[in-house]
Amino acid sequence: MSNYNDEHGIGNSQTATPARGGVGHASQFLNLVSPEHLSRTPAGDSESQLDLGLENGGEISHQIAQQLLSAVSEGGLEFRTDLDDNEMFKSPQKGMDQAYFDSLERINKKKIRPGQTCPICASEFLEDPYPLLVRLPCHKNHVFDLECATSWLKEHNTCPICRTELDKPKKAVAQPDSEEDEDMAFFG
Amino acid sequence: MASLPKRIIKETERLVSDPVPGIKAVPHEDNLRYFDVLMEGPSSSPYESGVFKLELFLPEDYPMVAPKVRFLTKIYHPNIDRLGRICLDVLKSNWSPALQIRTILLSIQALLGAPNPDDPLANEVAEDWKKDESNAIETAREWTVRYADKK
Repeated sequence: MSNYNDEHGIGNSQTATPARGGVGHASQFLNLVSPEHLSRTPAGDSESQLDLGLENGGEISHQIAQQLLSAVSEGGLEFRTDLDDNEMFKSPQKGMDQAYFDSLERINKKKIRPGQTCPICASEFLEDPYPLLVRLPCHKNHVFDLECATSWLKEHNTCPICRTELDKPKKAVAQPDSEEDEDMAFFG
Repeated sequence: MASLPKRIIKETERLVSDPVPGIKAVPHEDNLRYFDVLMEGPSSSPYESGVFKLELFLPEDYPMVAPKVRFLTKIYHPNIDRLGRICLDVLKSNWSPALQIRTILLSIQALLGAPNPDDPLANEVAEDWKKDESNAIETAREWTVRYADKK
């Protein structure tokens, strides 16, 4: 079946992917960090460079793209970057960030009951042979397609089912400041 | 127009096969995102004798954004204005993509049974409601007889 963006007519055909979740989802990230995408950052545009966390645009962006590529080909999806903030996360004030999506618990499809559906797109999880599913920390049954959860949470901080504010417990446990330093170290 | 998301198809099928009691929602043939809605006034409310027409539209971003819903039948209610716009949290800031057309319509029906003049949209109506509730309820009943269809 088609992915969330296709089904909802959002996104564009360049980034449209054949299957819900999985590698299809990852390829959207790759499109966004492709050399053409980054090379539009002019040398003098210090603000864009800061956003991307890059010392010298093109070269490092290739490295990151390569890292992403290898992560995907190994089946891992450890995107430790916030490269896409400008493109994909239009209102970061209220929503959750990429680090949060990365930290969400992934659910193996073996744990999914036949017929169980995503509360957001209403598709059966198991219709997709390689579903990419996450569980929100508020309740063990609050499982969503990663893509659907991301679409909502990039602009909101609440669980769609119970409205638990997902940034509250996180703040209590982790220290956002040190996390940020870590991200910078990754780029540095 | 892009093809209809599976979720909307599923919701529509269920609205038809397993309708919400007292509520009928029928999509337009030429625009499956646009629904004509008929809603019975809840019993023991001033609206109980009437059937109200509403329109419901699912925006392109649905379910990331709430459906747009409006009363077409004139109604005297502190949270519904002259243009039929509805002041209801789940249609605005409290929308969640886990809500559905049917849950939203049930919430609107519940709002008819439980007017909230402290969070008004129709200011004059809300003032009347707070000043003299029994008189306001009587007006709501009259408007129901005058403008709504009979049950």
